Amino acid sequence: MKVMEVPPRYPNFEQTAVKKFWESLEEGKLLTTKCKDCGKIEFPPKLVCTSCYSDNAEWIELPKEGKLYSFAEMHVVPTGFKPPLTVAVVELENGVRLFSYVINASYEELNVGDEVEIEFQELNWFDYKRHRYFVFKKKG
Amino acid sequence: MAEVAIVGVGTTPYGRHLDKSATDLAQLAVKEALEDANISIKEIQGFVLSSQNPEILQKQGNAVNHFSEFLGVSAKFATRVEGACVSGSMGLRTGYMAVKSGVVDVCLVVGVEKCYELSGPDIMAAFSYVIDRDWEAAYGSNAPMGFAMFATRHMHTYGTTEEQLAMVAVKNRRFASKNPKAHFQKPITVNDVLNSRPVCKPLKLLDCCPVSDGASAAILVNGDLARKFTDTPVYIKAIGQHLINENVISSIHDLTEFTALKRAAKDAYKQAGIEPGDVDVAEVHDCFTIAEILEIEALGFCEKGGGGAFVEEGQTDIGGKVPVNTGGGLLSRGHPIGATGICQAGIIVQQLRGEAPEGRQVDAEIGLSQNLGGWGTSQAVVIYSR
Repeated sequence: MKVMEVPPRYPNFEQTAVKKFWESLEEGKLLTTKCKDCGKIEFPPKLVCTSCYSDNAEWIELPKEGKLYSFAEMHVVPTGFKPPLTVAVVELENGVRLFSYVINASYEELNVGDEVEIEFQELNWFDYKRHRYFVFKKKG
Repeated sequence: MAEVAIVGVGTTPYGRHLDKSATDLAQLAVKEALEDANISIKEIQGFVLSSQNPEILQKQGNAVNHFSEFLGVSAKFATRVEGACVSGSMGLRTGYMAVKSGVVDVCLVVGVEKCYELSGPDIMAAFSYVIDRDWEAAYGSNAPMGFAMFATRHMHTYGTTEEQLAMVAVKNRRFASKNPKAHFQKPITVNDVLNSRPVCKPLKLLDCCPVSDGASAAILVNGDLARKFTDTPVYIKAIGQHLINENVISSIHDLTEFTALKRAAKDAYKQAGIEPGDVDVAEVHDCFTIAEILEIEALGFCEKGGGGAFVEEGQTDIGGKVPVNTGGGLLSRGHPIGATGICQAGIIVQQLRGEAPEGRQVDAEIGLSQNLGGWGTSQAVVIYSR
């Protein structure tokens, strides 16, 4: 691969207060933070609640099923990725929305509202790092 | 407080400037603006620089100081603004506030972006730096992706068609064919757009604005001094802005509208004491065709969900309710990130002075420009009058 002048980016899993999120992915769990004071569920997980500014958060596990809120199919992708990439925003039962890949369907095979389940997959981050992340699989 | 007037505007052609540096482009835009205002660089008191990414595109930091060397600017107020694609309008607002508050009487606002020092993939990687690293960009997200998400959801909810999206591109290209400074000037058809290759379904190549090099400048002065510089000052009647805390694509609560724009527009209309129907001509941020449809809805030119039909009826064309993007829009004029908001101001100034060329001239008393950053979650609306 050509050495890029502008390096691609990947998460810093170490220097973050939500390290537990990334560690839990390795165990096949999808976690996020919930404020114990006002009840707000955040995604992405956050150290401090963006609503009441309490730092009294607990980790909760997110449901592994949801519905397609919107989707797209990328044919022009940044270096390090292989097109086409089908991506989606999925809404879980508790209203939390997630962004990731749809691994088993193309744009034409998808409709808003389609039911999906969440799986975990090893991603290859530009030959720099390997890490598991959550992905979507259309049901049926 | 004082009124604020624009007394000079300038812009380079937009496109691939392989024989010019970022500072060359900025010089040319400022030279044209100074000549337009009949003012010397020595009279400039304030300097606002809007540039999205010189740190990555040129490997140049300390941008406001760096550009001042080449522009010959010595100022008692100077700052650089950056907010991705809305940087230009943030720059206008910063200059506007500096003049309105009396900190300075004469302020130069310059927007510049020079992209083609890098190769295509590197430019794309540099632009993706505006996207959240950990929760989006790391999975390949780029600009077309986010707007394609809006398109899919808008088409699902309101029945907006790919043909209606294409009509936005066709109209804006026709206007650009009469703008010698536009990046693309050759007219296109709906079929050309529909048959262009997919970039991010449902968006195709001609649904997307190009990457451009370019610079634009505007000179803002205390309204009491405006007639000293020009017989045709254009007044900034209002600027509305709104930033909503939904930066990751999955955090946006409604992918069928630009909520932040509805709020920015409401504020701007209130400040100016006008209604959407009073706007005679508008430049909006059509980075992708779907964006123009979302914008004419959020600006209140048509009802929510009715944007596609409004375009199809020709209401955004000359002779329609409100001609939109008579300069060619980002789709055809081009989009040097930091310059765009300032270029939009220049096109509205040209219209309000009655200097727009035949074929895209509107008899206008009130103009509007709208500029966005991120997934439309950072928005600015400027209202102008003669």
